[in-house]
Amino acid sequence: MAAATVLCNTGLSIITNRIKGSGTEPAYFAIGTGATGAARTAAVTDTTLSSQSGSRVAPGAGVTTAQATTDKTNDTYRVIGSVTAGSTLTYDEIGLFDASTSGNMFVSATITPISVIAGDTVQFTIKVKFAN
Amino acid sequence: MKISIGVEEITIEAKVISADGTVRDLGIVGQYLDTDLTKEDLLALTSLAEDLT
Repeated sequence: MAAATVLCNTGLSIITNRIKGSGTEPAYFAIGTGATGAARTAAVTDTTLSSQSGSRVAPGAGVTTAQATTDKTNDTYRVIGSVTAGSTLTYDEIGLFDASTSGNMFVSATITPISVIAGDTVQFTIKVKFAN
Repeated sequence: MKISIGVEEITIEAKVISADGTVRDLGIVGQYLDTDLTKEDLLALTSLAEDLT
């Protein structure tokens, strides 16, 4: 597994859907532990994680989203999500989806592994910045 | 004129908050940049350019 972060092909559909005024915000946050074992590196063709840990975290239940400004007004979509580990784990993959189960994957990432123990809370901030 | 609109950068930052309240800031754990160069490469090139001018 190598560290990589991508906007998925299914994420393109989410963007055009949202421009059209339909679809669902990709605010469901998932974290997993299986990328290293599966020797998977995030790719634009991803549709799911290798081994999701627990359920996806939903907006209002541990996830907040906002438009943010990096260089130009509201050029960034920001998602902040938190998960609390129930046991000793090493997180190595993250995904953003537009549904609590199934749905479409917006962002896929195989990350620098994060080792935690039971009771640790990991807070992730994901920023997707657009430019012209 | 070329028009290009798209995702320029994705960053994922993380911090671990232990049960006792200790915060371990891990910084950027995942990143996409719309370039073949890394941010470190760009910073190095910027520094080099400054040295040359």
